Amino acid sequence: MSTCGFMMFAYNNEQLDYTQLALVAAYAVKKHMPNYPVVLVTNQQSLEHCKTMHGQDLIDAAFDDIILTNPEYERNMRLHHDGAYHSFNAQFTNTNKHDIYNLSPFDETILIDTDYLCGNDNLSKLFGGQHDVAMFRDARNLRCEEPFTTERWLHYAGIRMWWSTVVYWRKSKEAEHFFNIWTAVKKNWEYYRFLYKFPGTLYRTDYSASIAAHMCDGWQDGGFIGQIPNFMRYQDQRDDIVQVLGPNHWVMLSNLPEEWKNIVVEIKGEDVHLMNKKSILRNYEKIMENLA
Amino acid sequence: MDDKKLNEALAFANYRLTLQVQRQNIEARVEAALLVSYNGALFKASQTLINFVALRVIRSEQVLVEDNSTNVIMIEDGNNFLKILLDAYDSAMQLKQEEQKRLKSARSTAKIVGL
Repeated sequence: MSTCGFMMFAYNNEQLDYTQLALVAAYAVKKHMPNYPVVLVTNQQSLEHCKTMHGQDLIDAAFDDIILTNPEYERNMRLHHDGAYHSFNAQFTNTNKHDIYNLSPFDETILIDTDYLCGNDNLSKLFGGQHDVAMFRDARNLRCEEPFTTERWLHYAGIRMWWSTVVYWRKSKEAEHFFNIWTAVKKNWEYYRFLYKFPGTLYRTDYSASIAAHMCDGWQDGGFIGQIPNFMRYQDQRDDIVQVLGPNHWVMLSNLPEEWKNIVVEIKGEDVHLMNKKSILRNYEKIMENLA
Repeated sequence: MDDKKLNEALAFANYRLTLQVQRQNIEARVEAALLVSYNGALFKASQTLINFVALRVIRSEQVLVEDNSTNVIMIEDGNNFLKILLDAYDSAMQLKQEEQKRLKSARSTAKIVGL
């Protein structure tokens, strides 16, 4: 019988308490898929902060195990938005995401970002599946629209993007190859940035995972990576939570640069990638109340 | 046209947009609810698949079907698979019917989103 479980990374920075986000994400997993363990990967400082702020009982209820790592500091500043009218810069520690293959205690693992809140048990259907690695290829915003081209393709004449927000894999030679290439891409980021011609200097795991998928598949799009069914629903950083109505029931504000086009949207029964992390933290009490 | 009339028309436009997005979001939920995991493969409980499996079961024939990733899967217990497909289909349609009923009587933007 193979072991299956969920994992997530959380390294706090001066602006965002990622361990608090991880508590919410872990509670959401346990609400909808109570039979699966959740393992947190963090560093000592973040864990200590979490214990002080949220208490050991909450941590014990959320995580079945905690793995401490200390990734080397690499400057990776990211511009975040908190709704339509506020933005801030913060260090983004995602440089060791590819290490998860070696860190995972499970035969089959689903790695989720701490801002990905499960709203049903569909992810558990990936366990025991046909693919060694699976990710989301398609995404839709709150309005059910596809994201911009730069979030779908690495370059207009380049390869399609895979979202690394949720990564499923089964321990196997094939999955090991995938993560080894991901590691190589990370180490030679500048080279691959020019080779695959994508913009910006921020290290994006979506891009490195997409390149690893492309290379592993024999430099083609031949089905090596399994597509997680349907699409990944996301709340943009410029959007916000209006009201939390239940454990998987939200009313959100979908914002556009043209204010008169802003609308409220009801999201129910779905997983949601809440990119506006501060919107989760602002509604922390209410969300946890519903997930408990 | 005075401001009041224009504002009312624009509020109506906002209502229509919210309604349309809500309809699409219901479709997305239905798609998620139709997902079935069986024999290590993922299937969409579509009417076509249900009919095909039912036909094979009635005729006591082997059930070979393509999953969502076009892998051919051998179904050992056709009756059990059919039951799972029908359960998923029924609960998805029930969900859709309830949501559509709710939308029909929602005459304001707030009502559409359940506020």
